[in-house]
Amino acid sequence: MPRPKFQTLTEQMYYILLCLSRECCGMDIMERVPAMTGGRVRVGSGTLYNLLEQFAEAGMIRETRAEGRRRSYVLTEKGKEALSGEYRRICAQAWDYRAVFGEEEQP
Amino acid sequence: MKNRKWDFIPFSYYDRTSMERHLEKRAAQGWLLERMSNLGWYYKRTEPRRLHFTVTYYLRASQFDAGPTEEQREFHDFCLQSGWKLAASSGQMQVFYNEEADPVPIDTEPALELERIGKMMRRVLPFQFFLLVIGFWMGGSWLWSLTHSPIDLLSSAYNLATGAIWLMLFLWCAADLIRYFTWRHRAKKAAPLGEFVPTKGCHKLMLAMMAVTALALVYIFAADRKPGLRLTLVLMLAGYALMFLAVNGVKNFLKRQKASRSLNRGVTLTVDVVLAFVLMGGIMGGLLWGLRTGRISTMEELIEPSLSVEDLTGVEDDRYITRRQTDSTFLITRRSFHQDSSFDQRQAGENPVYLDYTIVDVHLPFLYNWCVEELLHDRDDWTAEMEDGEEVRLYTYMAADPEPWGAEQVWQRWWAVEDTPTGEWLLCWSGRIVELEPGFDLTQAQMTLAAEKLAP
Repeated sequence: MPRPKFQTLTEQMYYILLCLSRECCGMDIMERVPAMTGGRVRVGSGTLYNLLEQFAEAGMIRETRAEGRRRSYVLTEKGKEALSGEYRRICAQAWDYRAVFGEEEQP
Repeated sequence: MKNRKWDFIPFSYYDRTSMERHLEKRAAQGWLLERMSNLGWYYKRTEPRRLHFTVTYYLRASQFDAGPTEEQREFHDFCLQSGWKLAASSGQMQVFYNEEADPVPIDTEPALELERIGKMMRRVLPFQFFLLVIGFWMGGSWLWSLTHSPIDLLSSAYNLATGAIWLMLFLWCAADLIRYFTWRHRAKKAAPLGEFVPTKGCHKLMLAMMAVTALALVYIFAADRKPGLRLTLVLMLAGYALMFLAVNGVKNFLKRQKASRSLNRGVTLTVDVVLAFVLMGGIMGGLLWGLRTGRISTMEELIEPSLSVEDLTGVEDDRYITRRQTDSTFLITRRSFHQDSSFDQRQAGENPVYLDYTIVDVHLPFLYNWCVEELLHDRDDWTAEMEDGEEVRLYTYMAADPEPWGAEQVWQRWWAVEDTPTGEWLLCWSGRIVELEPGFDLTQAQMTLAAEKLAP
């Protein structure tokens, strides 16, 4: 059975939403995500464009400004919930890892 | 030196990987894509470069748009921000290139790409399934005819050629659909792992289909000797080409005039439907006119009957009418003759004898037995229900003495119900089969005379 959309977030979705915790222009996210992750995560322009559209449709972000074709967005309450849900899931995973391997054995 | 180049490779619409590889190869040769249309892809000369190409689909775009919408431009801006320049677009298909050595791909989330291609293909698939069913029906009928009535099929250039086209259409549709659904299945499994699966369409099979279509048309031109039909075929093809150009012309004109998408779509489709009806009407009208005025004929006037009632009976009657029909290909030539009295004569109660015969010349030996079998069994489905409810065959062929005919093999048709012979014969010589159905019993002398006239 397919999972409900955005019940869990991929890494790219997570960082896009994280960038939008403060108002941000859509196009700037492409540079902010690699900067935030030390280049580990890169978001493609098509993927970013589609995800912004889908997040907006799902009410997870809202458009705040439009200067020509540059639109800015910010996270909504629903988006914050999704982001914090994902954070808790990642924390739980980290907790489980430590429970198995202990604090001293860091990857 | 040429600065522009054109090519036409019928890639499957979803087959982004093959398109990207092709465009990268062209760029390495010094040709950069600058425009796409229904007639092919157009390139401009550049320095040979190692470029990366991405073919993606912008679902809200339409081939009827006067230009990119603001939203579409925003999408292009996003791509440009990461170094992807728009090379060309056509409808939903958008082609970008990037000069960097290791650019961030436009799509980095496989699930999103899968969803987008799935939505795009939802519009294409019904049409492709429709073609599959038509191809199966027509190609299947062609194969059935090939195995059950090869003479009908292989003696007609038109049947032979069009059947091959339908069969290729079926093969392409089936192969392309299988390829697409296989890719989709694999891509669905790979998406949760963050992996992209390359696409692989069937453009080579499509090229083969186009080659078969071109060869089939050339073959009809070369093989069909019916007066006027070549001209008819040329006019039909010209009509289709004109219709294609007119519809595209209207669409592009309205685009240049900045007409809205809905207006362009409405006008273009209306022109398409109207022209299709005009073309069909023109073809039908032209054919009827050609047949009526004798400009198109079925070659009836051009073939002389080998045998006539007068030859056999020695009685001359100029009121006889001889109907003739011929079909010929490099495989089989079939000529049929039916000599009968006129309708007025029959109305007046005069019933002179008639003569029916069909001469089948088989040009390739391996087809010979196949054709004999067809003729031996061509009335197997003529049945009658007996008093006890049993269904019995009306006719059967029995081997007869070939000596009086000077033939290699001879069969005589029998009334299976009454177990009595009819006056109908199947005569076989090397390369020629004759189905002879005189309306009277032949004497020995008449058989000898008929054999002389009908033998190869």
